[in-house]
Amino acid sequence: MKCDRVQQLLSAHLDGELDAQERLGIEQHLEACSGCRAAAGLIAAVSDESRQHFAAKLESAPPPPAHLMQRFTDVSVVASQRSKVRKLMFRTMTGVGVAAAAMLVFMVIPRTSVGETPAQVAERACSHYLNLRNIELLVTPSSEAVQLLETIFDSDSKDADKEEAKGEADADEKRQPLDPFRVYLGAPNRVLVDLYPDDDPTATDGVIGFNGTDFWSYDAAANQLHLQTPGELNLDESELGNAGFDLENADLLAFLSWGFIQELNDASKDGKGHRLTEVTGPYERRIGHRAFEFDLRRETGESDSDDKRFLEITVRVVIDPRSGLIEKTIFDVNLGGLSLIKLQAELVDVDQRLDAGMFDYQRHLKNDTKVIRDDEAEQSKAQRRK
Amino acid sequence: MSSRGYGERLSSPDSVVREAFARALEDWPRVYGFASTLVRDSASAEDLCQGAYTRLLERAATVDCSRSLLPLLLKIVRNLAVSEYRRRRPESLADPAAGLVDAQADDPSVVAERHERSATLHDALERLPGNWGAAVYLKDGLAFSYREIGEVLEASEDTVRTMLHRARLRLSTLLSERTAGP
Repeated sequence: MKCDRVQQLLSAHLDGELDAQERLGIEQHLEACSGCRAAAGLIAAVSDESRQHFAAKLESAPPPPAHLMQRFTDVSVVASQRSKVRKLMFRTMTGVGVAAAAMLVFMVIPRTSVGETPAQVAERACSHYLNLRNIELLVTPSSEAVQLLETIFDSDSKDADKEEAKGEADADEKRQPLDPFRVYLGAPNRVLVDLYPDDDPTATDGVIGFNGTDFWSYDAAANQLHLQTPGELNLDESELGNAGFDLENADLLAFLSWGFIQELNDASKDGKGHRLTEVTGPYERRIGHRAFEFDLRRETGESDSDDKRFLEITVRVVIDPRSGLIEKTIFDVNLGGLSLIKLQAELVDVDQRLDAGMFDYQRHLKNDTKVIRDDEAEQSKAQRRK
Repeated sequence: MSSRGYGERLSSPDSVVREAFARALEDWPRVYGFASTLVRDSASAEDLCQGAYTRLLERAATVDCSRSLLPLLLKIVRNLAVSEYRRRRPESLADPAAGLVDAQADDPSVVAERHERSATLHDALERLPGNWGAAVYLKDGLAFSYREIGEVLEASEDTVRTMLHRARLRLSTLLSERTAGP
C-alpha cells in the first residue's frame, strides 16, 4: 500500500471501519513508515481531543424543558390510541381515502433522481414526510370524478333537485361541480376537506373531517352532520381492499410513507408489477421541474369468478428538485376500464400555522345543523332488534 | 428504515412505547449536542431540539418503538435546520446543509466575536464546512458507525469516510495553528 492511500484510510482505520484486508495492509505499512505513523498519531490525537470535548459538552447540556418532560410522560395515552387509529383507518380507507393517500405519497417525495428504485424514493418520502406538520392541497376533480365526489359529499341526498328547489341563499347551492376544493392533512391523522377554497379553513364549511378521534361528514342537503367514533364505523371493504391491499394494518401516516410503497414493491414480486419512470417533458425541463409516472395494475375480485376486473392506478407527479417538493400530482384510478377517480392536486403550502381545532366537527356546525351520532343510531337500532 | 411491515411496527405494546419515549427524553443532551453543531447559539439549538421532540410526540402513534428513537430525532433536527436555512437562503438549495454552519460567516459581529475568542477545539469545529462538524460529533461524541452517520446526514458511507477524514485533517491544522499561536 502506498503512503497516499494509507493516509486516506487513517480515519477509517482509527474508527474500526475497514475490512480485514485493508486493516492488515495499513498496519503493515505503519510498522515500516514513520511518516504515516506520525500522520496516524495526529489523527488519533485530534479524535481523542474531540471525544473529550464532546463528553464534556454532553455533561453540560441544559436539561429538557419541563413542559416537554410532562408531555413525554403522557405518551402512554397516545400509545393506547395506536390500535384505535389503526382500526379506524382501515374502515375509512375507502377508494377515495386510498387514492388521496397514494397521491400524498407522491406529494411529499423530496429530491428524486433517475435510477432510484421506488423503495429508495419511498425512503426519502418517509423521512421527509415525518418532518411535515401539515399539508394543504388544492384538488381539481375532472368530470369523471364529479359523480363519485357528489355521491360522497351528499351521500344522504336522494334527490339533488330538492336541494336546488329550496332556493335558500346557501353557499352549497352556488358551488359548481367542477370547482376545486382544499384538503388539509395534519399530523398525526388529521384530515379536513374544505369545499370553498377562498375561505378561511376554520370557517364553518368543512364537509369531511377527522380529528384523531371523531370522523365526521356534513350532509348539506339535510343540514345534518354525521359523527362516527372509532370502532363504530361500518364501511364496506373497498375495491382496493379486495385487490389485495393490506388495509387492516394501515394507518394514515404509515400509509403515506413507507408502508404503501412497500406494499407496491411486494406486489411487484408476484408479477403484477408497477413501475416508476421519468416522463419529464420539454416544458417541465425548461422550468427546471421533473416529472415521474407511477403505474400500478392489480387484479380484483375472486380469481375464479366472472367478476374479475383490473384496477389501474396512474400517478403523475411534477417535482421541483430545488425545493424537494412535488408541485403537482395527477391521479387516475380506473377499475375495469371505468374511470373511478381522476384528480389533479397542487401543493399549496406546507407547515402552516393552523388552528388545531379546525379538524373538529364543532367548528363546522352551521345554524340548526343536526348532529347525528352514527354509533348511537346503531346502538338504538340494535336495542330495538333485541 | 426498518424492513418490517408497518402493521408490525404499530403493534408494539404500550410498555415498549413508554420505554422508547423515556429513552428518547434521556437522549436530550445528545440531540442538543447535535443541534449545536448545526447552529451557533444555544437558544437556536434548544429551539431545534424542542421542535424535534414535539414532532416526535405528534408521531407517537406511528414511530417504530422497537429501536432507539435517537437517529430519528437527529434526522428531524437536521431537517428542521435545513428548512430553517432554506427559509433564510432560498437560493442555496443545491446543498442546503452545506451552508448551515457558515450561514452567518459574513456577519461582522460573528466574525469579530470569533476572532476575540481563543482558537479552541470548539472554534475549530465551528470553522469546519458543511456537515463535517456534525459528522465528527456523531463519530466522536456519540460513537455512531459510518452507516449510522450516513443515515442521519443522508450521505453514503464513502462520503462519511471522506468527510470525517478531511474534517480531522482540518482540525489538526487548525489546532496546530492554535499551539503555534500569534
